[in-house]
Amino acid sequence: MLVASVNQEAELHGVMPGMALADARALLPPLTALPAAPQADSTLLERLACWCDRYTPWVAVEGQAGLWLDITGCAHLFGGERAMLDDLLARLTGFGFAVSGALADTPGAAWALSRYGDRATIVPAGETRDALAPLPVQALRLGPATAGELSRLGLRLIGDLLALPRASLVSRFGEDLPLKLDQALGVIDEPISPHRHRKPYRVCHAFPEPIGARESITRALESLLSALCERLERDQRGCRCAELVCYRVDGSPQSARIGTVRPMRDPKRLACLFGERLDDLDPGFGIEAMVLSAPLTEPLAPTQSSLASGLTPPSDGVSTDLAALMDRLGNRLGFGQVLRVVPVETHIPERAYRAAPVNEQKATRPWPERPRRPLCLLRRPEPIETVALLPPGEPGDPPALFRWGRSVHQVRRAEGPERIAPEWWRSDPVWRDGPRDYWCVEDEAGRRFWIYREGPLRPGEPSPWFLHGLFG
Amino acid sequence: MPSSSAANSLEALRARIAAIERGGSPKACAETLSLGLEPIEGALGGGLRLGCLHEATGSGANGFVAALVSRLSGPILWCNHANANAQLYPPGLKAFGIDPGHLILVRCRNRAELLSAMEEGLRSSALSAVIGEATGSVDLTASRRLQLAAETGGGAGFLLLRGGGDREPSAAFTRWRIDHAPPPDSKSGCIYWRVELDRCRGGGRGAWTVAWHAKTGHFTLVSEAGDGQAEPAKPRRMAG
Repeated sequence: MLVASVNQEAELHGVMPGMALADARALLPPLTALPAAPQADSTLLERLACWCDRYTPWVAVEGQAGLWLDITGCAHLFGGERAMLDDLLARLTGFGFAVSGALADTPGAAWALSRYGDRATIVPAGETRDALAPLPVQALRLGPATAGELSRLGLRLIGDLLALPRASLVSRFGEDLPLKLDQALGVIDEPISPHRHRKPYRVCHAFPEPIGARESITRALESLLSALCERLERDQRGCRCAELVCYRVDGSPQSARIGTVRPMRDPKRLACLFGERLDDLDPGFGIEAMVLSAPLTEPLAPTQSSLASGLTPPSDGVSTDLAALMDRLGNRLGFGQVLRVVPVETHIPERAYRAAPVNEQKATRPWPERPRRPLCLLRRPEPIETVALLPPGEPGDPPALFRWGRSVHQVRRAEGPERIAPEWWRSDPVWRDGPRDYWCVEDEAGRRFWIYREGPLRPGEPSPWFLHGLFG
Repeated sequence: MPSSSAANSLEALRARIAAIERGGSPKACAETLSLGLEPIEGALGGGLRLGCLHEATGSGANGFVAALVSRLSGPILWCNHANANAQLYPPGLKAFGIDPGHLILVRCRNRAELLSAMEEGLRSSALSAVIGEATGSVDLTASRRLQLAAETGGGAGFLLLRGGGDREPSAAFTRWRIDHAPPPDSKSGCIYWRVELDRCRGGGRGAWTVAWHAKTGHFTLVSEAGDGQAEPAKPRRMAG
């Protein structure tokens, strides 16, 4: 395992990126190591790039941990270049990052000065050459082979390179080195392409006169839905959640929200799902504007229409009809009440399954084999009064007779015991009294019950019995 | 010959009346679920009809319906009340041969939600069975709606009723009463039920004791006992 990046303090002690973790630990025993997450890092960097929109619209992500901002024409809005750079660095430091920045004429020079110069350098226009000269050659973004060769030849600083004739640089090191040098000095232009963040999916419609009739609202909603779905189709995405906000004449908004199990972009089906919600909207004195947005979208490939379209099964095992049914039930009753069951690795019976909402995408695991589980489980086990066997057998035997509520049941057969102990790593008030011995007993009428004796056997004291479930 | 033409016109009349009884729906709902037991299928008129609503009550109703539904393949919708103390335990369905992964549970807050969820589920053709647990009894209007929805969708609907009391007239296709029965011998791995068919539209009545073998998933008939004889299927019967 190698070290990917280090903080300042570790660097002071000699830990460098690329070192083996074992060596780093040997060098600095109280080292804390966290696993690298490059995906999360790049997402964070993109979010930061979106945040830097407040300074300039021209922001580009650079490498793994850098941002380029083209602030031509923006500096005066922040009180000058120095104030702007200080403000940016202060805010980023406030977020918790260790950051250094530089301002120069060219991206290459800014890159070099931010990494190898002082923390917040500003190079006035025209002084790039002098600013770059004392920096080491790694500041030119060269490959490791070229950099190694330069250091073997004794060319350590950029100033040394600038002194050499250009033709010999080209013949010795190829085109890359002079190109980088020219880009840094501004002789050759290096454009940066700005990071474009996705526009939110939102369509609005303002009416020349306020509308209030249900048909007008439905028609307006249909036209909004077709516009939204066209945009989604162009980007090959489907919406999982859509929200309609109607702004009334008195300024107050009325909103309606729907969710779906799978991403979809069919305007008719979305209109059906909205249909029930429109009943709750109160137009008041009239609706002036309607805004339809899709806050949650997911990629959705276009479906291939074929002659045998009904025969190919969908990828996640949920047919279109079933997904449509779950959407309708979920929107009508609430997605928290339409559930699938997922197995949980535990031997505690009431926790052996988890009811997950259907719109949660989960990989299914196989159900473990357990002996003799009832079809119907009581949420709160009910106490039963028992009468023991005569003559008394083992202390742990099942009862001969028990009373549940008003009915008395004689036990004809019993299977068990199955001992289930509480999970010692979890403190559960229901399982406070210790392990339970479960018995499956059958009464004289053939009904089968799942009863348990709670707690360890205490000599001389009767143990409490409870009914936990009923078999089919 | 006049008798054969009379027989033909009688058949045609019967078909027309059966179509009117179905409510003019184009779906022929002739698919049935076979139990593998001759006397019961005879009383039912050839197996348990899919695309219809069936009512069941009694202590063994849950298990019997689970055993029936295990013979169908496809997603199953199970609706019950969120506040009831006795809830379905999905790992216990494995003993009946149903994969809990095919189950969709709907926890309803009240009866109206339960009935509307069942209706939506029955109307959609994506499910193979819809089971709802209700207390008391379901009146004629609600059961008629469920029956119509089942005819549209084609899945089987089962209404499990708790609580005693008088049974109101209902539009369900069959009405059952299922209780547990004591096993005849002390060692067996089967579940025994006393099954009474109270009413079947176009069919007969009867009472049987059946055993269900969990390992093979088959029913066997233990005895034909009870107060009604299994009558041969009659062509018409008044709904009521």
